[in-house]
Formats: sequence, C-alpha cells, structure tokens
Amino acid sequence: MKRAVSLTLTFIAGFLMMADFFVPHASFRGVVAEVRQWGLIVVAFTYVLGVANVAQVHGRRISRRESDWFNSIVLVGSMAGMAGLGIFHSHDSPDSPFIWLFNHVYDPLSSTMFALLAFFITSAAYRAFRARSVEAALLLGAAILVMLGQVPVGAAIWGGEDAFLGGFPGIKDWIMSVPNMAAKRAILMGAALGAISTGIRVILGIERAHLGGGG
Amino acid sequence: MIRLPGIAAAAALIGTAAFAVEPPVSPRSFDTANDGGRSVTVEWDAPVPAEPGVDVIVVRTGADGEPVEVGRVPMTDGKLVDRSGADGNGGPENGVPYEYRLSAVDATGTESAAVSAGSAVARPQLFNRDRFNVLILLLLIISFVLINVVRARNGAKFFVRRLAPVDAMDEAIGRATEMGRPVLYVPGIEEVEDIQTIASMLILGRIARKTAELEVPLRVPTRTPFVMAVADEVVRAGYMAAGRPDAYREDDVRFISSEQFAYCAGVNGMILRDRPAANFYLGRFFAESLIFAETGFAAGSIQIAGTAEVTQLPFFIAACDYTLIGEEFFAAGAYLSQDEMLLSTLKAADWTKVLLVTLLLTGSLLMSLGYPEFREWFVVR
Repeated sequence: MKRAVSLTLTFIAGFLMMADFFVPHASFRGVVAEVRQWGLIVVAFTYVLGVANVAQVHGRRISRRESDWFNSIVLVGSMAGMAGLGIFHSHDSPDSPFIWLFNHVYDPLSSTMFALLAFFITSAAYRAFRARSVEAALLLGAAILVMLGQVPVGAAIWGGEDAFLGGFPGIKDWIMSVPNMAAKRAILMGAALGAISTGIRVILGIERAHLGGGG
Repeated sequence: MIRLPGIAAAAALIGTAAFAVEPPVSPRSFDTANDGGRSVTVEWDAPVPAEPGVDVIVVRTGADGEPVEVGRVPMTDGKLVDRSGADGNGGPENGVPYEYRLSAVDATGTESAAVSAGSAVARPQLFNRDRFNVLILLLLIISFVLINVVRARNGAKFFVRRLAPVDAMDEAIGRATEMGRPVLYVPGIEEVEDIQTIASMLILGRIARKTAELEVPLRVPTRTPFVMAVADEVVRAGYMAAGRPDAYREDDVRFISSEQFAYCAGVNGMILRDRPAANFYLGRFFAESLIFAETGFAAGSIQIAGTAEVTQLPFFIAACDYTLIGEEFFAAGAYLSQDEMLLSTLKAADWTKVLLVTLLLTGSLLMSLGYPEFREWFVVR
C-alpha cells in the first residue's frame, strides 16, 4: 500500500512537472505553482529535522563521551549561539553580533576551506600528469600547451599574429574549442539522455530502488 | 497603465490636420500564440524611410469605451505585447474583444493620426505549439522505453558493456568488510529534486543493501535536510530488503550543514577520523569535489566517484580510483541491479542516441549543402 501511494504520487508529480513545459494555460500553471509551493513548505519543515538530527547525533556523542566529544560541544554550542543571535537579536547592522560572527569567523573559515583547493590541485595534478601511459602523456602534453597558451609568458616565447598556428595561444584555442569541446559536448549529451532515461524510469515506476525494491 | 479619457475626442478634433509624423504601416493585433492567456500582440511595419527617434503609442479600448495607453516603444521594434503583469493585474481580459489604435510620436512630441490595428480577443492556449518538437522527441523516448520494457517482459536479454567503476563497488565494500572499516557515501551537494541526486539515491539503495548484507557500517553525510530525510528512508529500505533492519543505526545518515564549505569540512573530518575503507562520491559536486577526493586519497580509501558535472569530472578522474562519467553515472543503478526491466531502459537510451547521432549527421550534411531550415525544427522556444 505504502509503495503504491509513493509510486502514484511520484507519477502525478513527475507528470505535472513534465506537462508544465508544454501547457501554458494559466489554470494549469496555477496548479503546478501550488504543487511547487507544497514542495517548498515540505523543504522548510525538513530543516527542523536537520537541526534535530544534528542535536541528536552530537548530543548522544557528548552524553556517551565518545571520541572527540569536545568537538561536538563546540558544534552544538556554535549552532545554538548563531541561531539564538539570529532569532533574538537584530541583525540589520553590520556591527550586530550575528553579522560580526558571520563576517569574522564563518567567512574566513569558509575561505580557508576553499583555499585548500590550491594545494589539492597541485597534488592531484602531480599524480594525473605523471606520464606512465600514452593517455597520461597526451594529457600532460595538452596541459602544458594549454597552460603556456593561457599565460603571457607563453605568448612571449611563441606567439603573435605571424606565428605558425598562432603560437601557444593559437594551439591552446584549438585544443579548447575542438577536441576539448567535442568531448565535453559528447559527455553532456550522454548525461542529458541518462537524466531523461532515469527520470522516465522513476516516473513510470520501473525503478524502485529508492523504495527498497529490487527493481 | 495610463487612462486617457480625452484621447478619442482629441483625435476627432485634430483628425483632419496635416501630420508631420507618419503613423505605423499595416498595424495588426491578434491573440498572443502559445501563452496562458490575457495577452494580445500588436505588430506594425515602420514607414520607409524610417525616421529616427520616433515612438509608437499603443492604445487599447475595451467594451467600456475607455481608451487605455498600454505602452510606448520605438517604431523600429515593430511589436508590443499587451499582457497582464506578474501580479495578474492590468492587461486584456480573456474572451473580451479589444480595439487597438496606434499613433507615432517624434522627439518633439508631434503625434501622428491614430490608425486602427483592428480588434483582438485574448485566449489561453492548452498547448504550446512552439514546443511540439520537444514533445515528439519525448514521446519517442518514452515509446523506446515502453517497447524495450515489453521486450524485457517477453524474456529478451540485454547486453550492457562492463562498467568497471560499478564492478569495483562490490570489491570496495568487500574490502571494507575485511578491514572492519566503514563505507562513506556522499550524495553530492544538491537538493533532492536534482536528477543527479535522484540517481545517487537509486545507487545508494543498492549500496545500502550490500553493506547490510556484509554487515559493514555505512555513513551518509548530507548537505540538505531533505536529502537526509530521503537518504534515511532509502538506507532503511535497503537494510529491510537485505533482511537486516536491526543493523540500521540512526547516526548513519546525518545532516552536516547546508553551507557548502562547512559541509566540506564536516565530511573531511569524517574521512580523517573514521578512515573509511571505501568512499563513494556520487551526485552533483562543485568546488568541494577535489577536496573530498584528495582527503580520501590521503586517508588510503578506495574511491569511486560519479557525476554528470563536466567541470568536476577531471578532478575526480585525477584523484579517484574509478569514475562514472556522465551517462555511466545514470546507468549505474540499473547496471547494479542487473534487472532486465531496468537494463531495458538503458537500451532505450541507446536507441535515442542512435537517433540523435543520425539527426546530427543529417543536420551537418544539410547545413553544409545550404539547407539551414533543418536546424529550425530543433530550436526550442
């Protein structure tokens, strides 16, 4: 019964969203807009579940003194503190505690995480560009040409209007707009077909793995 | 909208005067096609030679006889759409005839005689005919799916080429069993309505079943509470299907943070603390993809990634052991099940691919031979 209801609701919601692309009638659009509103309301309620989950997981860890339980105190304290400041304190001015904490604590922490990418890109590139096979050697060669074409020093070494094939910038442009673009479009087309196929599978109830089914 | 009660009278008074500005030529009004109603399109041609700086004022008169100026646009635009605003106010009512009159006005404010664009009735349409091409393609894909589903029901067997990353999933979970370490499953950072997250949930159902069978802990950190709720259901259902509902732990599926890098820090912390034997990154990823993959590499985990996000694929390919690229990611759920009904939908996608490649080749040939009209059939408006 539960599965039949889930499949029916999935079909109705999927059909409505698909038909919305083809039916411009205001009454139909109104129905679809209403369904979307329901979705937003459900999403809003799930945030309560999210906060409850964080409190439950970390509350249990603190009460059982599991490993790194002190980190959980910091997390739950930060969550409660920011929520309290956001709810009970004005946050219109940039000097308000909420905005101050956001700008001076959260934002730098977030930027630090993002900045880690610079180091990770270096280590990943080192592994990817080790020329241990023909494919990896091709990748390395293409990457060197693209990098040289992208920076001014590349054009200074070999570039300018008279240069054969346009020099490093010309070769870079060709690599990016011909082989690279062709591969990218092929992946995009395949992904789009896969997405459509998955959508149809779920809407028609052929795929039931998310409901615990084997099919 | 400006109400102009005196326009009709003024026009009558100056009707015989000589005008320095030429009015629009061949004005016409008609119901706007392929829309939800309450919209009339007024079109005209500019007089030749066209004078610069001349605008057209469009006035609508309804059953009450009250003229209403609906807009003023440059003469060269050649078109004005009279429609209700986003709040539903203004614009023509459906089913009511309106008379449209147009006049030209130059920069000095000199106005031409008003000319009639006839009357028009706004009506809502049930089908957007501009999207007929999309409907045909969609119906074709659905019919391909249904034909192959019927073939599967009749006992047809479908060949699907080996997907090494999917084959490696069992191996990775087996390794986690031997090492006694958990499996980490990251379902991307998008909301649950994203098709990549949906595809990820389908794979998660099968991974959960496998981990339950082998009694390996499964950790699923999520970025949005909605994905957490769905993932929780999916993992529970997987454990139930494996006959191990008791093995499910509520802490296994958890919400970390809806902030991208806070989530990223949380997942990295889990990788470094728990040292999972296998990491699955399946879904839609952005800047955090390489941070996860490199941290997992440093932790010595087997890593299997899958996404249709073209910009993140190189990072996964560089840092993970196996990567499902685009279409393979969407096919993984069906491939994992080895269920003929699901494999039949992959065959339908293959048929569609053959159709698209044929159309692409035909289009390239026709465009090269000087028949650009073929391209027009595929424009989506």
